[in-house]
Amino acid sequence: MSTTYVLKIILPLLFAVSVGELMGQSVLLEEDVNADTVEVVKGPNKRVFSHMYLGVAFAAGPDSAGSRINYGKSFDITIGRRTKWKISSFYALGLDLEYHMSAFNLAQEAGKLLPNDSVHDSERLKFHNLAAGFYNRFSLNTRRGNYIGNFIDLGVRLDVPILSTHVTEDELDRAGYNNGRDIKTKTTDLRFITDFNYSGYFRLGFNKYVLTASYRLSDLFISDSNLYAKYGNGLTKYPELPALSVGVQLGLH
Amino acid sequence: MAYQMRTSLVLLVIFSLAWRPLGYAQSNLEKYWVFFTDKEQGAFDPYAYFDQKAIERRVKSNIPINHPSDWPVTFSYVDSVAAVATKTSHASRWFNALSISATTNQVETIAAFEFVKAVEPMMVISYPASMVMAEKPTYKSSISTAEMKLLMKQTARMEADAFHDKNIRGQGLRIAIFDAGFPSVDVNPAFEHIRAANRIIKTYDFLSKKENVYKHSAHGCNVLSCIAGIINGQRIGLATEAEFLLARTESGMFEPFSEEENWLAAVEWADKNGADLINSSLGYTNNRYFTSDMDGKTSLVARAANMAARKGILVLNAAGNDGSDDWKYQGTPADADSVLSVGGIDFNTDFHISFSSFGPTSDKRMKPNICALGVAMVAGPKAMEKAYGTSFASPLATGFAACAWQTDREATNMEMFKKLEQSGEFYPYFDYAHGFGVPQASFFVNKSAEPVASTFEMNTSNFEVSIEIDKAQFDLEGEDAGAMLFYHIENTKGYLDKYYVIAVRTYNVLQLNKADFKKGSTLRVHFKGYTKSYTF
Repeated sequence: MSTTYVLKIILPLLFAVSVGELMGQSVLLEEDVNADTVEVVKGPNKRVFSHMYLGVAFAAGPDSAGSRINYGKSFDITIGRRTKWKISSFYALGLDLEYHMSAFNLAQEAGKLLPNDSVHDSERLKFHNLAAGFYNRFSLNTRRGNYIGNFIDLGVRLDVPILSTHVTEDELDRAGYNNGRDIKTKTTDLRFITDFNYSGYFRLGFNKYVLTASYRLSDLFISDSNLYAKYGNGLTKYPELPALSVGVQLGLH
Repeated sequence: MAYQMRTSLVLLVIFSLAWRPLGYAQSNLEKYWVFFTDKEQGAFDPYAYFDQKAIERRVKSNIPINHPSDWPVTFSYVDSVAAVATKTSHASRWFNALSISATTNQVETIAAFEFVKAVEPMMVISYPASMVMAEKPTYKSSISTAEMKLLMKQTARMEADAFHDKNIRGQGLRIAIFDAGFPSVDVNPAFEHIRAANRIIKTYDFLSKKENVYKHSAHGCNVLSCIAGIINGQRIGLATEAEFLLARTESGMFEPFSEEENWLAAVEWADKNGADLINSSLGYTNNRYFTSDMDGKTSLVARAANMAARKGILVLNAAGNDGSDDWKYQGTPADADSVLSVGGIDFNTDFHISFSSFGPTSDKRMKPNICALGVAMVAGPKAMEKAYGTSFASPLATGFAACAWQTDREATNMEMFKKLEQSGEFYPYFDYAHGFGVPQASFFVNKSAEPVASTFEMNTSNFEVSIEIDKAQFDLEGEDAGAMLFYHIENTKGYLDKYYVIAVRTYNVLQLNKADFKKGSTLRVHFKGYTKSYTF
């Protein structure tokens, strides 16, 4: 680097920067009152409010002979967007749009029918659903500020299984085909699943924390004697999986 | 099957749309205020009811001693409502109201009484607050050098020596404090001088309905110390020789439905027992209200605070700690026009501390009114602590206000309110972060103080207004570098459109293009105690 370059370029630059620092003003506080004090039109207790939510629920209702499940391992995971339209301080209408995955861990015992009588080390049915729920919201504290508060929701939800899978897992005593000892099978596009099902649901919310209970009102499995004929036991429809699930949700707001 | 499904779906929708939580409403108790249409004097004797200091305050302020607002609620009305409601709690003389716990059906019955004007639900939202439980202290009073600097500045910033050198320490003033508990105040060395002189006149816990307030949240202990504490001979607050009424009105952890009710009960209790000032470091915000409700009229506590002012009491309230939250603005009752709202400044920067709530009110009145340090050394139950919040700015200002009032006992509460604003370091300049700034004791002690000399020139041309700092007085490359200049733009409606604080590093500090401002709006600039304005 030449001396000329330093004198002509670097030093003037350094000088300009240092003078700029000396001469400059620092704005410590700047408030635009009109911009800040506009009427709040959005928020949890305003006319329309929308937020994301996460949820987990567990199968809780009674199971049926032939389709017993392992409770605690049969669960439902949800992510969705919830919108509510405030009608009054007491009442609102709402819409849930969500994805939820229901997994039923099937009990491996004699008399098992779903989806066949084979017994495995582990067996699951999974339903990946897109769902839309319509609900009524009743606020329990009507005089509140701009937050959700405590509420009761009562609504119906339509589930459309976009993917259904049946998974089995077995560990062999001896190495089997390909010298592996674990066998996992996965069957998709299950034919015995209805195109859609619907549920009624109840929620008790404490601002962002919500307790949920959902009860499926329609059948999960189709009724078709031809589909089950190969079993030779006169089965025309699988025994239904538990209709009731209970869980919690977290509102992301 | 399909038919059954459709039927059940339709039935569910119909049921859910028609459903109301009747079972909930009928079985679940809610708290309500029952407002009565009228009341009579009956056997009310103000001389028996009020503390002598309350009588004196009324006489001094030319307030009627026997006023209907102080008459008790009509007993027969209370009895009739009590016969229906599940439970009755506090009767408010000022609002001619009774708080009750009742079901919806009971409320319908009560509302039908001809002597009932209205039944309104009480606020029921809870929020957590700080919680420090008291233990028998082995008191740690030693503090670091940095903490000692803070301890000294929190009163020196208000020119405390100007009061104390003249032995003005709040003598004869009675201060009521509404808070969440006062653990250790009965044993804490920071309050030894108060206990020794029996200057804690009365205490009452409005939650447990008992006199013992020396437990629960330590917040009240911290607050009292900022008004009147002394530790190792060093003052913590200014009114070290005032008298005190200590009221526990908040749970400190979770509100059990009725802080608003407790606040009302406490303010009437404070009035009855002769309070001259009330310090309240609570505020209700988004859990209960919208910012549009912060108009000083909507909330019952704001109306109660204004009523206290009409009884001659000077009410100071923390502006709130929502300055950096979505809420941003002061809560209630700091929004009430007769409440002196106190904001906070930072110890290090000496201007608005980030969390201190901003004004104005929703109807565009200036708040906060004044400010004090929003970080302070306070007496905790077991040790001296550094604490942040306008909860501590407010009692620092309350201690100041008691001393200020001592210098002019003939002044009414609202006259003192105005004087406290005028004593602010920026007065007549103001903004919605600082109000009129930190009050200065010299205003009250040196009443013939000379007007502040000009510190800058305001030059105008056809196109611009410029501000030039006085070179003869200030060395902006030396000790005055970074000195703060405040300016705002006030519109023709009388409220601020914009306001700024800038650190000055050049003499030609500000050039404003006239074309950028509406005709009639006012530029007001404050620098080093001097304020000048220009109307566009």
